Amino acid sequence: MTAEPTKAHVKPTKYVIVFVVLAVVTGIEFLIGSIIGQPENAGIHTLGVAALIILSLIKAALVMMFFMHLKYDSKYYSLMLLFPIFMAALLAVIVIIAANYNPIA
Amino acid sequence: MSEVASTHEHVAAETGSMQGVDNRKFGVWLFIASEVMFFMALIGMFLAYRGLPGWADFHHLLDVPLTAINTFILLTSSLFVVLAVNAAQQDNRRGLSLWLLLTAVFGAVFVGIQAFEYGKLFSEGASLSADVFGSVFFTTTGFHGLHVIIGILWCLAALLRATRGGFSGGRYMAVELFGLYWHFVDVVWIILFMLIYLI
Repeated sequence: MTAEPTKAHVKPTKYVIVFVVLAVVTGIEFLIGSIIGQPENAGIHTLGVAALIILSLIKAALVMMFFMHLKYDSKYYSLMLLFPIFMAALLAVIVIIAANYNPIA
Repeated sequence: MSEVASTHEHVAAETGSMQGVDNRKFGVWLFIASEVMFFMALIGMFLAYRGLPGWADFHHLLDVPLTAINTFILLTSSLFVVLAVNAAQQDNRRGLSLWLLLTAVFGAVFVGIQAFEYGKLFSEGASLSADVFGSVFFTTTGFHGLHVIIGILWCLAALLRATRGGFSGGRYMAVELFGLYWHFVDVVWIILFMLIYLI
């Protein structure tokens, strides 16, 4: 026997609320991207990039926690994901540092 | 491993198995973990080559508003998937079929818009071999698009099974597993859209 799929812990309305939040955040991201894309806003480019990264991570977390049910499922699923997420973040940091110190020509 | 027709949730009974963990679901999460590494390799490539001479030449050709709409379409399809799983949990066959159909349709619209953008870029001279940007852009988004297409086929297979009553009686794990894959594809696009189109 194996465990049956999880029963619905989230009412459908909560999924819709999460979706609305995702849609709104996407709109905000689009606005930020439009603003920092203007040459006259070069001064706030770094801040805009940081905001975009944070907002994207929030969206990804919302999808994983609610739509993929990680918030309500066994913690073993989340634990198992930690390693590849850590490796992915590590790769991103290393690549960015390496590209800045030794640009690939 | 046999599927038990039951509407009652219970923990895994296999010796040595982790409490509350379904082997099939864990297997899909392991697969998703490997896909995280795969896409991170592509994203790492993007981060490494971004900003090199010739990079910006084609970036201004990207239709960011259209892609923002496309992102919204994919997010909406993710909502449809969770509603499909919810319908399956309620043993609502018509609702399940409807939401799966809408998921497939919205997925196809996403791919269609991507193909439209590809056509525009090709007409402007961008391609896999044109320059660094083309190589990175088409490889990364192309693999994502391929994952979406596979997801659409999976969705249609689930839809077919749903219309034949294959998920009745509490046996909807296959729908949930498809949902995990589809949401992962959505998460990847969330990251790609931000990195490629907005920054």
